[in-house]
Amino acid sequence: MVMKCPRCVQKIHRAAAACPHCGFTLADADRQFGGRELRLRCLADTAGLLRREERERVSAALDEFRQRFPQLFAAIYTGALGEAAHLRSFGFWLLNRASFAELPPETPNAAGILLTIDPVTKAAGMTFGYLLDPFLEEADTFECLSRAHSHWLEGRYADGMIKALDQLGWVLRKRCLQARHHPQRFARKLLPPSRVAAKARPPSHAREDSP
Amino acid sequence: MKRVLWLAVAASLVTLHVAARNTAPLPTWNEAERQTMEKSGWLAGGQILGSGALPDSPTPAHPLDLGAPTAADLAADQAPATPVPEQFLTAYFDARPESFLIDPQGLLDPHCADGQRAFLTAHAADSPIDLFVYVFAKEQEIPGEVRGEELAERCFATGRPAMLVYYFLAAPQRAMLYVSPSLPELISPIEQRRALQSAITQATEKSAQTEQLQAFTAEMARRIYRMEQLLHGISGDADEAKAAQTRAAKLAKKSSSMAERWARWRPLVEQLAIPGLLLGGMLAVLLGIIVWRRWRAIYRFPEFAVEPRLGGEHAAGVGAVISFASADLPPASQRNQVAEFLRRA
Repeated sequence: MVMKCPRCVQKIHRAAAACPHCGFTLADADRQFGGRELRLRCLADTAGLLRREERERVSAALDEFRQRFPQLFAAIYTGALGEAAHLRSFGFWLLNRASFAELPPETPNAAGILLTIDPVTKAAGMTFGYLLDPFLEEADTFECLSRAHSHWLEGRYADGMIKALDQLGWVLRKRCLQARHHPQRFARKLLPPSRVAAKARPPSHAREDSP
Repeated sequence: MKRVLWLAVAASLVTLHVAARNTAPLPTWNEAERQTMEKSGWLAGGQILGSGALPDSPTPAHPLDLGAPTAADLAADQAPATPVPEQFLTAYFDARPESFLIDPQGLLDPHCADGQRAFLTAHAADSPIDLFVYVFAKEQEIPGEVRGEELAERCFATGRPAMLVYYFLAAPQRAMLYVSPSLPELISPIEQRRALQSAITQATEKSAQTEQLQAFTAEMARRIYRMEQLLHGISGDADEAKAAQTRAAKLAKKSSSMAERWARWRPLVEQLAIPGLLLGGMLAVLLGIIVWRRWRAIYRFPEFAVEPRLGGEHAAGVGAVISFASADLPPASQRNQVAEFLRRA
């Protein structure tokens, strides 16, 4: 897995306290976006892109995602952020600083996937928590955004969000089944080979449950 | 209106009556004049008005005894006078001719002969039935030892089917038609006779002998074409009927074989119908459950310990950023991978 700095988009090593290239940390993001704790709903349409029925449809899609992946949650934030490149650092900052109202208290933000849309600069980005670090690649998130691209071009933001969530669910289902059969493969992405066996939990953890 | 009509009729009757009354009486003979005229031997109006009869015409003392006409007398006009010269018999009747116009005597003028030959050749190119025309003079007689049927059988048994016509110049009514051995099965003698009669009729309407021959051959060619059409129609119908029979036979065989099969399998089917339906239903339900479970499945990921990066407690996973500003560019071209500080610069 390739880890990148949200600001300079350069590769960084695991457990880097700061970006070795630009020195970026969460503290820099706090200075840029504010250091306060935020409380948001999972669907935070601050830009006002969605009508009521569209919000209901997107909320239903978010709920279904949570039911399908009980460990995870997906959140959507829309707002004017300025430069498109801010999306990465903003997503990084928001997922670390925000708490989401609908989620149970035991759900950490590390299990979250945040979709950020800036309608002014017409840009969208995805950020995900540590839980999904081994399972999601940047290319996967690009696939999800690409599915929504044509809808967003036409201003149909709700349709695009739902399409992106559908694609995300499809990717995660596939990865979950892969992890069920080959958990070592994903553990290897995070840990040195000598520590993989010790750190990975038993395969029975990666299971497919019925409702 | 009726009154007017009645008045008109009445006026007509009155007019006729008055006219009749005003008509002058018929003239009458003075007796003296009458006797004078009677002495002269002719009395004008005597046969109509008078009672006197005309004097009888003189009857011959010995009437001519001509006798009843014999068959020879009756056929005298039609009987050919001269046989075909012997030196031409070989050219006429020895073998299948190479040309469609057989005129070894040179009775036709070359121009007419060439025209006829070209016409018959063109007909042969268009039609599967050739037409051979043997030209004789008006008064010529085919030798008794030469029979048309024998000629057709001997010279035209092989090769393309053909029609042979003995045509007598300036006497088209004497034309005779023979056909190669393969044709009588296909074309009835009645049809052959009709064709010949029609050609003769067309020829006799012309006065010049070359025109007669042209009309004759043209009509024969037309008739042959009609016969071909008839033959094609018959063969087409026959083929269709045969095909229909074959289809019907196949269908009957198939249906009978299906019935036989059904009869053979019916007890087994009846025995297995209910268990089979139950099994199929169970399989369908099982499949539905599997699909529903898969659809409603819940997925859980294994959790790995990840060391925090960049000071972030929960997340540092940087995903993709794309722009949707341009409809002309694909999403891949609008993928943003430029560093933040570089954009600012």
